[in-house]
Amino acid sequence: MTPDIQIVVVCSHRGGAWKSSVSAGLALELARGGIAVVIVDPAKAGGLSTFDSPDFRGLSTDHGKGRSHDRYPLSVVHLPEVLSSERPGPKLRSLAMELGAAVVIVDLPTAASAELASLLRDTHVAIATVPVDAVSFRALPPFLELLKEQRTMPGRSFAVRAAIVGAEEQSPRMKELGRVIGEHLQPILLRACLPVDEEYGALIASGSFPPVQDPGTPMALALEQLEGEVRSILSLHAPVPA
Amino acid sequence: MILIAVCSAKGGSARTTTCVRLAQALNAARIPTGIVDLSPYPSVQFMLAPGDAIPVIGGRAATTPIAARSIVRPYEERCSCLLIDTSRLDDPAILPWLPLMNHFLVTMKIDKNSVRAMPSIWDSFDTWKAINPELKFLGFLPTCVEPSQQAVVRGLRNRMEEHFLPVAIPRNDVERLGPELVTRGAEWDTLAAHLRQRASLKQILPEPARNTEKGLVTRMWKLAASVLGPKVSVVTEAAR
Repeated sequence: MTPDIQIVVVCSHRGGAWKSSVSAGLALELARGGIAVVIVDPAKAGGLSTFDSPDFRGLSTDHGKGRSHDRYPLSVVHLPEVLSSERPGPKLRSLAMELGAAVVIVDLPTAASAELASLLRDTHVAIATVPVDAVSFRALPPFLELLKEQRTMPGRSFAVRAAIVGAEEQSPRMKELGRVIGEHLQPILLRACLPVDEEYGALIASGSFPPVQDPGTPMALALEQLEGEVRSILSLHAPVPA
Repeated sequence: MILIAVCSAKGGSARTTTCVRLAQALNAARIPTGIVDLSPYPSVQFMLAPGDAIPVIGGRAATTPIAARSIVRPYEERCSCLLIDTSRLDDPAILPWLPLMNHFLVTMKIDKNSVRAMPSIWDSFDTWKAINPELKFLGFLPTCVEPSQQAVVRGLRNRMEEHFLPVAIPRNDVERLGPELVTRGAEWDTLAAHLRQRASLKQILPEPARNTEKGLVTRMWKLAASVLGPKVSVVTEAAR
């Protein structure tokens, strides 16, 4: 495994669990910190590569060749064929080398176990996004079991972390559910908990992701924290400016 | 038996919720309906209400159309419709089911990303038509619609009326709080009535028992007459 290119897989057992939002936010934060990142969007419909925002517009292509951001070392590549590959890791690493990226973030669609398993062979960190709702909680155990099983297979050394999405909502019932899910996930829970408020939801609905991240907003703080935690897990260091 | 696939280009478009609520509405309309769950991490069973008599059939085990047919065969007598809760569009698990499908509908959130993903639906549809030329597209179903987005839905419908189903599902109907807190909105019943026509779904459940209240009143009068004597019997006869 090439040590200087790290692969992060953002996955979930549910649709609409903010996988693309977390991938994009994390990538942007890492890139702002000087770490070259490529986001791979393997969804055929192109989830992340259809985002329309000043930061992402025009970055994606349908031909598997990303284009660099004009301000940050960031590329987005729409690469549906990577999921049908028996071992996507080498392909992802050669793509990263081509684009000069140190980190590959795979925004994995709610995928079958076989596809997730083949990706995890070369993954460094798997981030499971877990929305706070009753159905998500009930459907969670088989997914965690799958990650655990994959982690214990020979030759795999990825870390598993879970990011709770939406626990900050105001309903007491949701808060209680968020607390229960948090306890359930405790050993692998990331401290960064992504808020889902109406304002942010409206921005996403209008296609303006990532929204303007004014310092101090709950979303900006959560993404900063997430980036810090992932950076620490990957032992990443931003390059010293010349 | 008619098979209708519920698809979407993007996650979080209320695909599973649509299957569950629509199955409930179709059953309420005396069209016995089951759900085939193709999701890699099944969740349909967690969304059903305790009283729902909706069969949930695991469909991912099928690797060939013959296997898919043998999975649904036991339900042919019981169900006149099966809704297929698909995973993402390019999920290979859909392929064995394609020859069996009669119709499909597409749930979509009203945002730019979903609208941009629409062409991928047509790409997939072309592939699917090559496998099953009889497959029919029922239309897009706008879901999770905020009050402020009604105008956008109207705009889309005005431009592409033939491609849209006649209802839009409000955000309230797909609240993510678990089935026990959600009551089915009227939109699902409207959609069920529309699909009954469009997809020629058969009603095969018996008519619900009627006049039960009148029967109860008559029984009460009879009981009163047996206890209180002939005066009440006269009143009972008059009441009849």
